[in-house]
Amino acid sequence: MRLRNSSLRTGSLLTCFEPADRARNRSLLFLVSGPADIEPLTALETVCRRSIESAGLDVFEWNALSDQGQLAEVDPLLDASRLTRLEVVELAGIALADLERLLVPVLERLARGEADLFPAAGGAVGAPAEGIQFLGREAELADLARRIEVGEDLLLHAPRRSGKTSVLRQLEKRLEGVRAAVYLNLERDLSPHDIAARCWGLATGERYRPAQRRVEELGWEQVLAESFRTLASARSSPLVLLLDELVFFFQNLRKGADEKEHEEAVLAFLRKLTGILEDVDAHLVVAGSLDLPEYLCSVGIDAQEIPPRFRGLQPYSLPPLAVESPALEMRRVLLGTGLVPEVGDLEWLVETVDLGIPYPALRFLDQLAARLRTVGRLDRERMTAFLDEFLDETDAFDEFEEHLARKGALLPGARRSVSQVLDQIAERPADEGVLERWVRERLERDVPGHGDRLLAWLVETFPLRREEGRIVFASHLFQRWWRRQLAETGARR
Amino acid sequence: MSSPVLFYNPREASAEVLEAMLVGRDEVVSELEEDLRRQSRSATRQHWLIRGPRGIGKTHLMGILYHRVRQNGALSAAYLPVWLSESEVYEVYSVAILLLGIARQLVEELRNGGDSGASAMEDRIRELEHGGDDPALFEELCEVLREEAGRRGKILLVLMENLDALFSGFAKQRSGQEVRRLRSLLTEEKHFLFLSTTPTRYLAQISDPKAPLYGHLKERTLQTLTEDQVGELFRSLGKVTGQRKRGELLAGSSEEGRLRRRVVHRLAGGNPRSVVMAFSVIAGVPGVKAVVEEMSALLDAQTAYFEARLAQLAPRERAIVAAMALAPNNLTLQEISRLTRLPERSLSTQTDRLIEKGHLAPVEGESGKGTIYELTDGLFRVWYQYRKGRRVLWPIVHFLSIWFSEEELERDLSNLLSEGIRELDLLEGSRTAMAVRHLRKALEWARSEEGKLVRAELWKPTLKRLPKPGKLDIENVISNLEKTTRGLAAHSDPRLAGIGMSMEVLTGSMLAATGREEKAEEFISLATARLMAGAPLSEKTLPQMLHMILLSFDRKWIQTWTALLSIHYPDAAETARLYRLVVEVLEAGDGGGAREGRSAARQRRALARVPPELRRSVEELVAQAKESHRRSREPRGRRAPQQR
Repeated sequence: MRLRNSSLRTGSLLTCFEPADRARNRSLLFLVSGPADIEPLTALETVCRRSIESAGLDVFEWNALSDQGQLAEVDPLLDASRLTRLEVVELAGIALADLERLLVPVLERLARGEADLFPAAGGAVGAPAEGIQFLGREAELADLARRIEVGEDLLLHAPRRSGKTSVLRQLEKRLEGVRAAVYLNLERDLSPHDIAARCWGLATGERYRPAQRRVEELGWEQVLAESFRTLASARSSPLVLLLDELVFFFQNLRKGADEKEHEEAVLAFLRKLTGILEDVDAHLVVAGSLDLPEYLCSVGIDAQEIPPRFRGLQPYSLPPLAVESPALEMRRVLLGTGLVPEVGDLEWLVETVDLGIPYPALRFLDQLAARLRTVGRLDRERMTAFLDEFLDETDAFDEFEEHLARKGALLPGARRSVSQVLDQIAERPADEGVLERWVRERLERDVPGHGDRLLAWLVETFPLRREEGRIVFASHLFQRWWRRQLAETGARR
Repeated sequence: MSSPVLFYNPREASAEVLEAMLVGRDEVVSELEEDLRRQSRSATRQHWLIRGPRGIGKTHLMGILYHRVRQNGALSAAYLPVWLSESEVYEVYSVAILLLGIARQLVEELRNGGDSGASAMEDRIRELEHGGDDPALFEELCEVLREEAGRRGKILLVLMENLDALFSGFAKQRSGQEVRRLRSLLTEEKHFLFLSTTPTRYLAQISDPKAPLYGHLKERTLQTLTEDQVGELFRSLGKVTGQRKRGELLAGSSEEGRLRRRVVHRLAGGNPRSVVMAFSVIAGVPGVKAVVEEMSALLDAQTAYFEARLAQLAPRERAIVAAMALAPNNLTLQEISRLTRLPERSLSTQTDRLIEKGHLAPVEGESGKGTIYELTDGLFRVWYQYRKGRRVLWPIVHFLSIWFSEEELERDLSNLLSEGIRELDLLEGSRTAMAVRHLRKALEWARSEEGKLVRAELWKPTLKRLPKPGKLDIENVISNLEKTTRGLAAHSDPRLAGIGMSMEVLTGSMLAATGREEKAEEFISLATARLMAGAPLSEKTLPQMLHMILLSFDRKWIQTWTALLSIHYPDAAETARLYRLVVEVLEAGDGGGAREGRSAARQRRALARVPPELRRSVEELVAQAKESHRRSREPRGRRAPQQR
């Protein structure tokens, strides 16, 4: 593996000029390093030309570039800051159909005026991923939208750093036109008054201070209700409230209050919100790093006391990322990161790192890119060592251990049993897994009366998937991590 | 003309000086620049954290980026850079107050850039009436900054140092809320891009998987400079200060230049600020006086930061930190307990808290009894000792004692003392007194056994380039060597015992290097028998023998030798100690189980336990031993030719 050499002199330049103003342009520069690049260059030019023709995109122009230092000689209006450089070798050896799948969306993006063409591993290490940085999740978004459409209120849950907020933000966009989605992150708010003031600002465009005065005058309940009415009436389609970090807000609310007061405050907020949702006929999606039902239970709120809209939230567990073509998706990330795979590297990454759990995988690729900036090139053996070093140092999977510990505390024997099942799956070759029936029986034997429920919990909590009667890891990276843990702690278990 | 500037303050330095002195940071600067370009057109905001110990060049890096963004057309069209002063963060107790600092600095930036909106923005900020803890102030400042950035179609690039101090500034009972508010700022407000730094290796608020900000920042760690980069920095310093000759002293490719470069590199530990200091010290007495003064000023400048960090600690935690700062070595819980008189049983809770707060780090062991702890910020120890009236700055003492010969130190000291007798003004007199104190200590250390050993090790000449091997008949050489050595072994003349031992080690090494392990063992056994019998040892050949044994033989031999040396050869105790430490570090790095990836970390921790003055030597020997071991495991045909 090495980094892209963006300083190669010669290449083929594809530019998208805006018809109304040629000064507004974006380009792709395919750099060549020698005669071996000619054939792949011809292939990718063919694919691009065909796609451009079939889409009728007459805004593109090709130019041969003998020296990228003399860009202005091609056209003085060329915008060098919106030029994406790729080495032809990065796209060599790809079947034409795959090349088309890879490049057509890029051309569409260029035509739409976007200069960000590929997801970068370090582009959204911790921040919510938007635009090109958002990977996959087509099926989940479609499913969520469908369930909202049929009237379900949803509780989106998944481990930390698995992209819940990103999914909510994408869902907001996805629902445009069919639903009026309102995204609200509550972690910055200390009281319902703060939420009401922000909502009023959102609904009317007013600044915070007048909104706050309004809350002081009319009370948070009234302003919150008015805000949602205003939001609903301003939109022709029904409202969907996307509520992020509700539990954080409740925790903030707890400060200084005794248990009873806190319980009442939480219930009062939920009741009011329920009333408002019903008043404006809105749907609800709740997400967050902390589990809402678990939190409500922990503060002593009886399930029957929870308003029905919140009690009836349908759990939606965000599964590990399943991309249609893992190799193609990995290639997109490598292109966005400037990583140039050498023979066999891409296959190794797909089989070892994959993108099943994007956060640690992207973090690894980002760190790999940083290492390559220093050392220039890494062979497979060194990449493997670097990956193992990363896995030994990373805390990204620690939460799974916590889940196990919590389950073990609630259900004696569960931790050991589930760990042993995971050990068994991890020890099998990747994608082979173990029989689901065996897992159920094993869990039932160890924790009588809980086999089915534990199995469901296991598949929901860990990056696993069901596949033709077998349970397999949905993330090779996690499998490798688990194996390393197993090697270390196997004897202890 | 030469400039008297010794240290530089990146905040006050011009963009040109910063660029001229940028060494070894090309990769990270270009990565950050590329990322800024990418983010200028991206919907996602990816915030950054640059880590690295004090003096590694974080502020320099901030300065470089600040100026480049301002000077580059595309970047300045996309960003409004706001470089917060280092002290700004010490006064922050809530995220709203941080935003207030950003807003005020933005007004300054706008005003300096001739932006007509600066006054209006200033008025708007003045009108904000809420308290620093009030969520309303946070919301309103978000609004102000969002609108100001939006009006100009730009992103606010906030360059902020000491992120750790920001977290420490939050009141304990409100810390969680503030961190969450900061998170919402980072994730929701697209008009902000934060580029922050921290000298701490661990920051619970972003490193703990349970923390709200876990994994939110893209991190890079600034590395120490390599030997060649030290030379490059010397050359740059020579140019910047108009002292090209001195700059070339270390930058050149001559044997002497390389040797000096290596010495400075080891003494400075590759830390750029220390290299700058070394540049001044090399000037001799005037430099020593100036450096002592500059370093005192540097320590004074850190007072606000360190005081603020100390103030955050509970009295017992403060006592622990103080004890560690005053101790010459890293400490175990038992030692901390003895020094602080705190009960040992409660110490692990307190040390855990100090680790969480980024003050301490375990250097050996995970935590608890037997674990050795160190202060994470090396400068803190120097500052604390200095503040406690120990007016000797040990980094300077060590440098002086190694760079200059005893004669040079004596001469400088005597000159300074005679200068002190003359009538001098108060300030000059005080400077001289400080320089005298440091020279005196340097001379003391240079005369000590330990000082001599370290100096000899550091100034050991580098191997001269050898001609290409040509048609050397290695088999023949080894065969002759074997014969000669066996001949010597058969000779019972006690005068030849020392030479015989050296030959046996050398022959054994040659045999081991060519894969004849069994025969090699035979020769090292012979040499060891001589050592046990008390064969005379030469001061010069002993380190060479130990070096060969370390590189060529099983580790058990070096263990045997160091043990025997400790018992039979008191004069060689220091050399034996050095190699014993090397073995300890190597052992710490042994796989010891399936989780081999941890071994490197264990080895780092073991190395951290080595006294600072020996650390470089140990580190180098460990690296050589590992490389030698690695090579010996390679199939013979695939081994790359040994580099000379």
